[in-house]
Amino acid sequence: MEEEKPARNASLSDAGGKKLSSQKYIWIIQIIFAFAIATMAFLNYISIISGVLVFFVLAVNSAAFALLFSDYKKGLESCNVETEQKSKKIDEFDQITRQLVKRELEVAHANQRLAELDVAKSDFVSVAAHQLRTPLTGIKWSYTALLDPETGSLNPDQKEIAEKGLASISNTIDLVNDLLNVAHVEEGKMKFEIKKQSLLPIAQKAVEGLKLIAAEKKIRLSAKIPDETGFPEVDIDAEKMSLAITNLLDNAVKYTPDGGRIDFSISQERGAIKIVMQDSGIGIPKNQKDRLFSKFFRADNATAVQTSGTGLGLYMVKKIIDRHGGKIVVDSVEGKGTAFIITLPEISAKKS
Amino acid sequence: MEQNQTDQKTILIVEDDTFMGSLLERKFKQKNFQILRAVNVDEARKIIESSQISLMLLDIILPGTDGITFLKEIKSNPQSKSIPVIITSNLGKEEEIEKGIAEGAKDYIVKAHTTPGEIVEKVEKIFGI
Repeated sequence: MEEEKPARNASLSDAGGKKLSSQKYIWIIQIIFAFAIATMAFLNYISIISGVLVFFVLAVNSAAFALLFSDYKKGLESCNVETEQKSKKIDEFDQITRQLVKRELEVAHANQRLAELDVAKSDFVSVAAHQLRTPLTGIKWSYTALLDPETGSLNPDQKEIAEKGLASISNTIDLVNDLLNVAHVEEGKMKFEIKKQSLLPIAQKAVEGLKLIAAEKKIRLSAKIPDETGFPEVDIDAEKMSLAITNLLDNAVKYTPDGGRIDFSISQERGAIKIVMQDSGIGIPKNQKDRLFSKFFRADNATAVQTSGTGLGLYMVKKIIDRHGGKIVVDSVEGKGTAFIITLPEISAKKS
Repeated sequence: MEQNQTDQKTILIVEDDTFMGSLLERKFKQKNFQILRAVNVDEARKIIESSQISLMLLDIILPGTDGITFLKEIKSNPQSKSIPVIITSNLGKEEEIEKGIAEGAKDYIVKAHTTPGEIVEKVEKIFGI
């Protein structure tokens, strides 16, 4: 048994020697295989790790980029919003500018139109003055020529007719003047050249101008005009003030019966200059006093005395006084007389 | 006092309304003035160039060139600027009067407010007659 064993063992050892070398190869191959697998696994591992790392890096990067991008986007968006807002604002600004330019053009156009209208209105007064006055002048001058002793010799009846014709036409010319004056005041073209000056010479001249027609009616026209020395000056337009005073005096003469009285006075009273025109004329009916300065208004008793008249004189006088910052009031008793009182703010004492 | 033949003044009346022109002429002739008449600026210009004018009565509203334009022309010409000019017009607004005087008119008369006799008196006063 024992012999067999070694034999077996020997045979075994032969076979074992062959077995061993093939096992060795197997092991080597296995090792190589295992190594290859390990290498591959390792490589895979590395690549996975690297992949993971790359992924991670990429992810972080992406996140960073995403964050950056989102920030950028946000920035961009905010920029866009800002730009949008800005462009909106620019649009609005543009629109406003356009509107402004448009308005400005409209205003310029309107101004031009107004200026044209003003000229048209102004032309109206000039045209009306020329067109109305020219034929009236022709008629007036005809009567004047007829009544001229050097031109013709009329018998008393003819002379009377011509004189009446001349009076009528002169009245008509006065009415036309009143209408034109008012149209002129109304259109705002009546220039007021207000300057600091004494009212006294203006008033004196107006009174002198009316003395002749007052004398024709035997009306006593007295004037109390103070000495200029030390008398306060006023801010007035001499021509307009003269027009107002003359108009009032003319009315006084017109509506005061023959042989009546007109008292004109100027005084200084509590920081104001007071002009009083008192007549002994027909007076103004009590219930019509408040309408006295209205346009076209004529008191009933006035139309009874003077059929002609536009009712524009007092309206114009009030406008003139108002423009001087003054006041005009009337005190009247029908059948006894009228007083017109004008007050104008004084400026300063005139140097003596 | 009427003028002598030797110092007779020549008045040029520039007036397109021939009736008013004739009434003025009649009145001036009564006072021994010599009268020349024109109904527009062209006629007036020719008269000034050919005659010795002592004074001119000038209307404003005239056919063609207006009186104010003609007044400027007269006053800017050395030959005619010494001729006294009285504007006789029916335009009577303050600025129209001011403009006439500013352009060199010696006086401004609103025709409707006067008579030929009064115009003659004004002219006589200018000549010291």
